[in-house]
Amino acid sequence: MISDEDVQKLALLSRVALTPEERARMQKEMVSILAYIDTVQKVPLAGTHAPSPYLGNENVMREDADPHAPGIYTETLLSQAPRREGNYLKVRKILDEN
Amino acid sequence: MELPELSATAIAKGYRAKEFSAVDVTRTHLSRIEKENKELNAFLEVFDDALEEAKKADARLATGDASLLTGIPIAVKDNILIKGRIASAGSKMLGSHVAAYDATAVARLKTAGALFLGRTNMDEFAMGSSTEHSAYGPARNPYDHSRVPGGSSGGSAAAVAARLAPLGLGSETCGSIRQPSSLCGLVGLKPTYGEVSRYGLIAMGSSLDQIGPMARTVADTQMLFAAIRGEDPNDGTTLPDSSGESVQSKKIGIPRSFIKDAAPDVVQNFETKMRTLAAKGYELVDIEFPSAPYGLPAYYIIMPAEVSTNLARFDGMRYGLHVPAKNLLEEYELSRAEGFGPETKRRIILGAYVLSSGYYDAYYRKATALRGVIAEDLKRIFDTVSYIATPTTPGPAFRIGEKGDPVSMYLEDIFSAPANLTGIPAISVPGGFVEREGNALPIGVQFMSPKRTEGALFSIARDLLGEDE
Repeated sequence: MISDEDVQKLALLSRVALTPEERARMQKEMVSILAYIDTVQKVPLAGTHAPSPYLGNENVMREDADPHAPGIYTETLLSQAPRREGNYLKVRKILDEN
Repeated sequence: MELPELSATAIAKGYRAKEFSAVDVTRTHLSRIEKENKELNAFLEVFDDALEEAKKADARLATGDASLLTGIPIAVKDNILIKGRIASAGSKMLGSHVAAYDATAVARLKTAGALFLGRTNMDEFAMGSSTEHSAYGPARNPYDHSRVPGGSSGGSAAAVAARLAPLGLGSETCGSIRQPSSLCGLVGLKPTYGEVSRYGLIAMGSSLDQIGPMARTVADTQMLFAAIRGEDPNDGTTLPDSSGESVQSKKIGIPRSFIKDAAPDVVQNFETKMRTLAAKGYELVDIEFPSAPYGLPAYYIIMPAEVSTNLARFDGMRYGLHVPAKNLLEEYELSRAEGFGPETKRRIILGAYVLSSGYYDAYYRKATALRGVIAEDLKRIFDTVSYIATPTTPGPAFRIGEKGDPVSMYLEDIFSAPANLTGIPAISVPGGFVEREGNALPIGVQFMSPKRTEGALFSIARDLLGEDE
């Protein structure tokens, strides 16, 4: 069962501020969602299951090579930054400011 | 036939026969949008250069320098990037986010000459089955405005069904093309995982996401699919180019115990359609698909896990909504609190839960194993049959506000989950109508088939609809 404290901890891990009302609603809904997804526990699975080859999911890596010319996308990308200083993103300190 | 009634294939023919121009076709669709969109809320934005683009298309058609889709209007889901255009993914978080590059599917459509009419409404970050989770208000079903068009690609579905565009681009993580296609009477394809590049699709569940076509005819769906598919160096999970695989027989497997919970009239309708196919030389076989009902709960473990990871990038620092606060952590928390809607927050937090230590084995590892079990079931089934048929959805379009409880909304995609979890292709085909409160509402039939056999899905869809090659 998931408690209000659990929801608070998960919200912190998720970096989402929740109001007390949102937290209460979230807890209630999480209980019903977890009850639903818990049905997966009914399927007996023998030991550790190797992924089916039919699934065909595998990680695909590329060579760390052929970089683009430095700076060609900088302006495009930084133009959408909420706060910038020159070619840097500007962010708050981890300790309180002002 | 009135211009907005024409399929994309018919429009392309009409251009070549000089029956009408791209400007005529664009103007008529724009006036349909003008008339209907206020109510339907299918388009979030109609592009101001559509008529200019139509003039350019006409010039190319006149010189014989036209491609297959030259001057064919298309509605694009708001989570697929078009360079220089806003791509908000139906979220306040990205309300003013301008795409810095074209999605590969969009780049290919540009090469093929397609004319982008606008971007369409969707559930926020593609999380939902009704578009009610859009930060910009729900879209409405053209068949009954008090009902949802389905989701998450509901805006594209409503636009194509209401004749605001002949073609729609959607995306699926679990049912988000097929379910709205079912609820709006369209053909919608979820391609084989890796058939269409995900580059430039705003990510939700990366091991599940696929872009796909929606249209009113099989021929149009196939034409759009052909234009967007193919290997892409920018998406390492795309499959090597091939002309596709074929299936071995005309056997259709029906997992009767899996579909028994669909509405009785939906099942009845489905059985009628199966008899239509039997009369056309298909053989119907009852099959056992014991792992199928576990697909959706497994999906609701795997997808949130991927969501919590993928959406971590929206931190209010680099782009998107930013809420000033007194320190960095608070800026993260407040920007995300303000930018994300309730369903998105729910899935992020659920994802953090199933991945957290102590629960990882019970949930994520179990769900991943189940994904393998479903794949093994499918492998066995496809040894004897070429297709699996089910209703696309358990019921027709529901009323706006009817499914307030998250789990009841999730169950809309019960028949969709196996295809997304295992990467096989699946198509929803219009399968008649059922009545709700005096209104005839469309309902779809779904076919699944082995990987890379989209060609077989198009042919069974044609046979069901009696559509010529």
